[in-house]
Amino acid sequence: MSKLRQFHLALAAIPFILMLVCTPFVNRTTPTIAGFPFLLVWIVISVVLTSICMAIVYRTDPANSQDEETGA
Amino acid sequence: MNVALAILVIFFAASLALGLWSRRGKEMDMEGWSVGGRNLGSIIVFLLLAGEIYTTFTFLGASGWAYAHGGAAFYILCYGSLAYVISYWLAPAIWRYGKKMSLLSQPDWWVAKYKSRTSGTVVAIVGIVAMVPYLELQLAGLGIIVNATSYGKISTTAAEWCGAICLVAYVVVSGIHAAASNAVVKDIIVLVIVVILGIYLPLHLGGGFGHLFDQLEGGGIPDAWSSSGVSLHLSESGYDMGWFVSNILMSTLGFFMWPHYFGAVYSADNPKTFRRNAVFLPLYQLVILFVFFIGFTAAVALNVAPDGGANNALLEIVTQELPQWVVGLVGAAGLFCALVPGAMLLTTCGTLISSNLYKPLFPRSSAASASLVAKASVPVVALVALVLLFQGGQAIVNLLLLGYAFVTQLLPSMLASLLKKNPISSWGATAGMVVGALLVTWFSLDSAIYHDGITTFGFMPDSLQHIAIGIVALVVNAIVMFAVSAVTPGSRPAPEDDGTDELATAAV
Repeated sequence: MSKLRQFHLALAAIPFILMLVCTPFVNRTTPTIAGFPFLLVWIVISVVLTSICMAIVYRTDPANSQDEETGA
Repeated sequence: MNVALAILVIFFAASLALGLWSRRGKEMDMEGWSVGGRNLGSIIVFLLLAGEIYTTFTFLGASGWAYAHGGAAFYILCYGSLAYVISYWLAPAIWRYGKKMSLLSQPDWWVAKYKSRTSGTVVAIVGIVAMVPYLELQLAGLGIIVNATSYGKISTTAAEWCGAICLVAYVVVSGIHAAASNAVVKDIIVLVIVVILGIYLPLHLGGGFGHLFDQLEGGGIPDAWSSSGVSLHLSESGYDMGWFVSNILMSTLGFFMWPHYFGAVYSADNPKTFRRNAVFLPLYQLVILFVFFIGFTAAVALNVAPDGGANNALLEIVTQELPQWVVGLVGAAGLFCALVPGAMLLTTCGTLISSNLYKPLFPRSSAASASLVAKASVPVVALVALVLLFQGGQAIVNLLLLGYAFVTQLLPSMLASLLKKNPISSWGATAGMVVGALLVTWFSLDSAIYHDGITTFGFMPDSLQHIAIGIVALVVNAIVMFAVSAVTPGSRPAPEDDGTDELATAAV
């Protein structure tokens, strides 16, 4: 497996860790953040981080700079 | 006629016109009808894939969940995000092979990969069994929304008939283009309505977000919440951490196994679309947050539980608190939420019936007759959904859960077929799926599992038990699949199919 592939898989694993592995430890309403319960804030941040991780994968994936697939 | 009703009628007419008009200038052979000639642009594909997020269940179900179960509703945000992460690699792989082999339907994948029409037929039957109740629930949701937002002027039955007739008309004429054209309007109106209400209602009725959550955490906690231990985190019995995590996992895996997901993937003109979508769709579904806020506000503000249960919380609070023209727009948004997925489902059912049930029976049939069968089966499927809908109330929700458990049974042989050297034979794949599907049926008929916690429209309501069914069936499915494969000849890749690892090529 190439270094890049490993890097991509590691990034893709982050959302799974945040939402599935970490949730038992953040299952609480306090402290509230700007009035919002903690669990909700945690999940919203996880969703935003998911997009950021996938944006990095997208940017560094050479498949997206090639056009060969369009007409194939 | 009141203002709300007028708005509903205008939007309904617009949807019908848009669906019929979308046929203009399109090739309407089987490929054009089922998968838009594999030519749909990235924005349309984005909306079709996002269509799965904003259905009537999200609209009514997510708000109902927040209203009745508090923090347990957050799982909806999680499984969507995780599913889109996987789609970055999975969707281009499905697309590439689909294009190379000219696949139209989900079962075609099994026919091509396993060189077995039988496995394709099994997948088609599983798919149809799963999709009909899904369609039923879209129509049921449409009935509820139209009835409530027309202040009872239109009966649910009348609304369901109108919705079904409209769907049949534009799906027969335009196929997937009907869903594609309506998807644009749907997402704009849903986004605007949900965001505005999700901000206005908490400020207006909840005294601001901070105050709203304060009340839900202590002071003004609703009786219904305090009596069953609901809170803004996972504390209700039956909706604990195990429920949360296993539910997210199963929903993430089941997400891609719906037949209409394959249809949406095949129809893209470029695989780059899916990778870009994987970046934006998780953010896009954050709009569901505002649906939660509406549900939370309803929990505080509604003094009596709405008629028809938690699903009606959103409609109840909207009709109580807002002027008619806003109610009309909410109804219109709900209408589109039902019609777009409904059109996708009907198109996919037609394609499945024609390519995977009719064609194997009549292998020498012409392309024209296949296309005719696909279109002719659309009204039949719609009618079956309507009849089932009029017969059972609660039972259909049970069927939907069954549907989810059913499509998940397709997962093991689908994943195996992505490998460079697939260790699974066509017999193994077929046997695994049949055993898995039968197990799911048996479990659900044999116990009262599906009768608990199914009081909402939620996508995957209650049930560690339900998840357990899915997982047990999945494990047995996989064991049977490997066992049968060990004693039957494997599926050799045909010369034109060089057996490349689709996932690897997708990700290199």
